[in-house]
Amino acid sequence: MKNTSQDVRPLHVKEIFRADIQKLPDMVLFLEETLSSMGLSPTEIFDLQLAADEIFTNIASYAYGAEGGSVSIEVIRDATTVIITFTDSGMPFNPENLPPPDIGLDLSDRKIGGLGIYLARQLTDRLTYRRDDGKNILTIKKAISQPE
Amino acid sequence: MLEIETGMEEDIGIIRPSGRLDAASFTLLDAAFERLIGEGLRIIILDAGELLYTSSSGLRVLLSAQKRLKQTGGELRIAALRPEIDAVFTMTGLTSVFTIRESVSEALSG
Repeated sequence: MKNTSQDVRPLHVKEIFRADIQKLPDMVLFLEETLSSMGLSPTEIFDLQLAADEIFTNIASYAYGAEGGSVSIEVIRDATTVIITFTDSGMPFNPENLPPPDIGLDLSDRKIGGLGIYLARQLTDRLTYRRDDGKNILTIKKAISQPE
Repeated sequence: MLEIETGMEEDIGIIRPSGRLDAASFTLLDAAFERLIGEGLRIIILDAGELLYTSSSGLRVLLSAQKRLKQTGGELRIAALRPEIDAVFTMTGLTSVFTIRESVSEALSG
C-alpha cells in the first residue's frame, strides 16, 4: 500500500489480537500495513515491527496462563512521532525492572535470553510502562522522518 | 513465513533460511541445527542472504547453536547478512560471537 499525496493517512488505528504466538504473523502484517499507510520509511517500519514483535512475543508468552487473553495494539502517528501502545490484562510485567543484558560478554558467558526488551528499547526512542486498573500498558515511541 | 533448505559442501553444513525468523517460526531453524549437529557436523554456515527478518527468538537459536558447535571444536559461520539484520547483530553485540562473512564462498574457506 503506497501512499500518494491524495491519500488520507490514518493517524489512529487500533486492533485487538489474541495473546498467542500463532497470532504473531497477523500482528506483524497489521503493523506493516498500518505503518506503511501512515507514510513511514522501510527502515522505520522494520525497527517498529521488530520492537513490537518483541513486546507482543513477551505478552503472548508470559501475560496469561492457560486460559489465555487478548492484547490491544493502538498506533498513533502525529507530525513527528509514532506511538504504539500495547494493553493487556495479564500478570503485572514491568520491563523497567529487567536488568539489561551484558552484550559485551564472550560466548561462553552470554545468556541465551534477555535480548527482546533490550532490542525494543534500542530500536525506539522511548519505552514506558504503567500498570493501571489491572492492565499492563506498555508504550513505545519513535521519532519519524517526514514523508515527502 | 520461514522456509529452510539445508545442504552440504564437503563436510560443512549449510542452512539457508528464507523469510521471517521469529517466535512463531524459530523452531524450524532450531530443528535444522539439531539435525545437522546430530549428524556430527562441526562447521555450519548460515546462508542469511534470504533471511529478511529476525527477532530475539531467532538470535537465541543462533547463540544456542554456536554454543553447541563450539563445544565440539566447530563453529557457526554466518554469511550474506542483509544490512537490517546486520544492524540487529551489532545492536545486540553478536558480531563478535559469530564468524561473519560477506558470502557463502568466503565462509566456506574459513
